[in-house]
Parts: sequence; C-alpha cells; structure tokens
Amino acid sequence: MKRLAAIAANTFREALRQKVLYITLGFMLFLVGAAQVLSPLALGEGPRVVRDVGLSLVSLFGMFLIVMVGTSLLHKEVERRSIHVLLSKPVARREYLLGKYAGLVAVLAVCVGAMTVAVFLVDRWMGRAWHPQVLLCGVGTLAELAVLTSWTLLFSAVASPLLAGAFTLGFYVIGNAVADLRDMAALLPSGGNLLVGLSYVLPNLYVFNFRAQVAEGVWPDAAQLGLALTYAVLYCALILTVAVGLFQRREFA
Amino acid sequence: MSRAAPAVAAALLVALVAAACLSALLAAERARPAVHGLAELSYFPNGKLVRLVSAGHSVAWADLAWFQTIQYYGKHRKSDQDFHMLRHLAAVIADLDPHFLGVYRFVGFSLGQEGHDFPAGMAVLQRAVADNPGRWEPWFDAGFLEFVGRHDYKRASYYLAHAAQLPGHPEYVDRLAGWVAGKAGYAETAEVFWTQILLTSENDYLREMARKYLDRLHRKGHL
Repeated sequence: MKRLAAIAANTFREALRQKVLYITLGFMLFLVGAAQVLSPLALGEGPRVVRDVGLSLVSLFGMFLIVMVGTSLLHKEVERRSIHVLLSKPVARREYLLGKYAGLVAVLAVCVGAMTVAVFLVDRWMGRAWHPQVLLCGVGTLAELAVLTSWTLLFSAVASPLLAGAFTLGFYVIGNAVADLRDMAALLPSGGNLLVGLSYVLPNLYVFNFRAQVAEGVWPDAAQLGLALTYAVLYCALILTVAVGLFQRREFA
Repeated sequence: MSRAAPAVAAALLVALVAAACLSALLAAERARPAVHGLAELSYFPNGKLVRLVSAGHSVAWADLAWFQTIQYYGKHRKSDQDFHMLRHLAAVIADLDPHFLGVYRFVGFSLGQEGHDFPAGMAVLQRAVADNPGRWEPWFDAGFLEFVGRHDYKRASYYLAHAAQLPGHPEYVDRLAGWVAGKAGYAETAEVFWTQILLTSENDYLREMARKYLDRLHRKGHL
C-alpha cells in the first residue's frame, strides 16, 4: 500500500510538472469570458447557457486530460527504460499500475474539482441563487472520468499511445450513447442481442451525466447518485483487474 | 540605394498582395447569391442524430442551436418576416433538451403572432405540453396563444385550467383561467398578460412583441 501511494504521488507530481493545471486555468478564463460574451446574446437564457456549456466543458477538458496524460504514462517509462529500474525493485507490477491509476485520478479530482467550483461561482456571479447541484454534477463527472481512465490504462498496457488515445476517445463517445445502442438493437432484424450484450460490457457513462437535470435546477436523486458511484467503483475494479492481468504478461524489450 | 530598400520593397509587396487578396474575398462574398428558404438551414441536422453523436452533451448542443435560432429570427425579422424554419429549429432543440421551456415560448409566440402562422406556433407549444406535462408554463403559453391568437375561449380555457392546477403557478394564471372561462374582458385580460410579459421576460424580442401588442390594443381603443 505504501509503495502504491508513493507511485501515485509521483504520478501526480509528474502530471503537475506537465503543467496540466494550465488546462484548469484556461477553462476558468474561458468560462468568465463566455459568461460575458454569450450571456447578452442568449435572450434571457444566459445563465442557463453558461452553466450547461461550463459543465459540459468540465467533462470534455477532463477527457482531453486523460488522452494527453493518461495514454503516455506507461509508454514514457518504457521508452526511457525507467520502468526496468522501477520493476527491479520490490514493486509488484500490480502496485505500479494501480499507483499510476490512483495518481491520474487524483490529478483529475483536482482539475475537475477546480473547474466545477468555477462553474458554481460563475453561476452565482451571474445573479442566480446558489445551486449546489452543480457540485454534485462534478462528482458525477469525476466518476465518469475515473471509469474512462481505467480503460485508458488497460489500453496503454497493451497498445501504443496513439491507439490508446483513439480508443479512449471512442469509448467516451460510445459510453455516452449506450442507451441509443440498445434502441438501435431493437430496430435490427438480427444481431440485436449481440449489441445489447455489448451495451452492458461497454462503460455506461450516461449514468454519471446529471447535466440535463442540473440545467433545470433539479437535484439528482440520492439513490441515483449512490447507485452510479457503486457502479463506477465495481466497474473500475473489474477493468483494472483485467489491465493488471495483461500488464503482468507484458514483456519489455 | 540604402540597406533598408529591399525590406521596404518586400513590405510593400506583401501589403499589395494582402490588399489584392482582401479585394478578391470581398468580391467573392458579394458574388455569392443570398440564401433563402429551406436551403438556408438545410445543413442543420436532425436533433435525434445530434443527440446520438453528442457524447452526453446534448444540453450544451441545445444551447448552441438556441443561438442559431436567435440568429435566424433576428435576420428574418429585419428582412422578410418569414419565420417558417423556426419550427424545425425548435424541434431540433426539443429533441436535444425537451425541457428547454424558453425556446418553446419564444418560437411558439414568434410563429403564432409575428409570423401569422397560428397552427405552427400552436404545434410548438403543444409539443412543450407533451414534453413537460408537469410544468405550468407550457400549459399557460398554449392557453394564452389560443386566447390572443385565435380567440378560442373554449380551447384556451382547457389549457389555462390545467396550468392553474399545477404547482408553482403565479396568481395571474388563476385570474386568466377564470376570466377566459367566463368568456369576459378580452382586451383588459390581454393587457394584463402582455404587461406581465413586458415586465418579467428577460427576452428583449418577447418584450418588444408585448409592447407592440399593447400599443395595438390602445390604438384600437379597446383600453
């Protein structure tokens, strides 16, 4: 556990060294600018537009962060051969991979947290009442990104950064359209069951999406949020187990 | 010849090419035929399709489509007063976010009153009712449009009575529902509601529409 925490802390520091927090800063500046520019153009719907777009961008910026940082995490260590030094020490491959995952999720937590708080404050600044629902939406987004990160790590354990990035992007899109996939399966004359089965294997990222509810000022249901978080924890455990299994078998030249 | 001469010549040449490029662009823009009618928004995709590929961001896409709607409305308001594509735009937004109530109200009244296409305006508000049966606002808007657009008190009363039963409705909804049910005081009642829109709406165009109808009521001597 101690070794895992050390690797996580190191991953966190390394990501900060890559100046990922600039993404957060850029987001905040963009949000304040958008509030100033878009609001007068939206004919009374300004606060809603800024909140919706802001919350969507939190998720999109998070996804880009995973693609930029997450996909190259393992590859860089392999290329620099520093992984040989690390794994020759009493560090299990399992600990190494889970440490990387924990470090990346910690980076995401900091960035998503800061960006969500920015949306929350801009929402208030635009003359609306306090809407703590916005913060809960951030919790959902973090869970969504944590699930996506588990897949990214699995991909980077077996594929190149470019492929891992492409797969991550694909899973982000398809993971948000799982319900549509099932609707599509119902229309197919054959092969529908296969598609339905696939829809349960793919990450259902839509269960973490509370943006539509928050746009209406509605609180996400506590049971809904609790079940979504439980799903996230179990799903991540499953994918990381597979990722560790694949990483154990990998040979480094 | 000074040492700066080649640099000056190069700068002049660049400026000349830039000016020629800008002239060509402006001429090309002028040469393009103006786009009207269906072709104007023929590229605008179906809402269900956008929802499918929106990667969970359909509400934000609805906001972007809202800006397109405002742009379309403003452009035609200044020119031909032809708003027929508003209905398509409202349908796209409703597919992306069925609870975006401000869009239904704006498009419903723009089509029904300014565009003089009552059935189209009413169809938009009926979709608002179907998508949001638990909200008083779309019921009220549909009843109000029946009331001021077609003067059909019976149908208006149906919608307004529903609005008056739903939670969160303001006091004036009860008043209008009562008045319309009694088929009384059309001009005074219309004044109450247009004034309400004038005072409460954050939408400049809706406020202007309200101001226009209030003026018309005064000019006709109804008030």
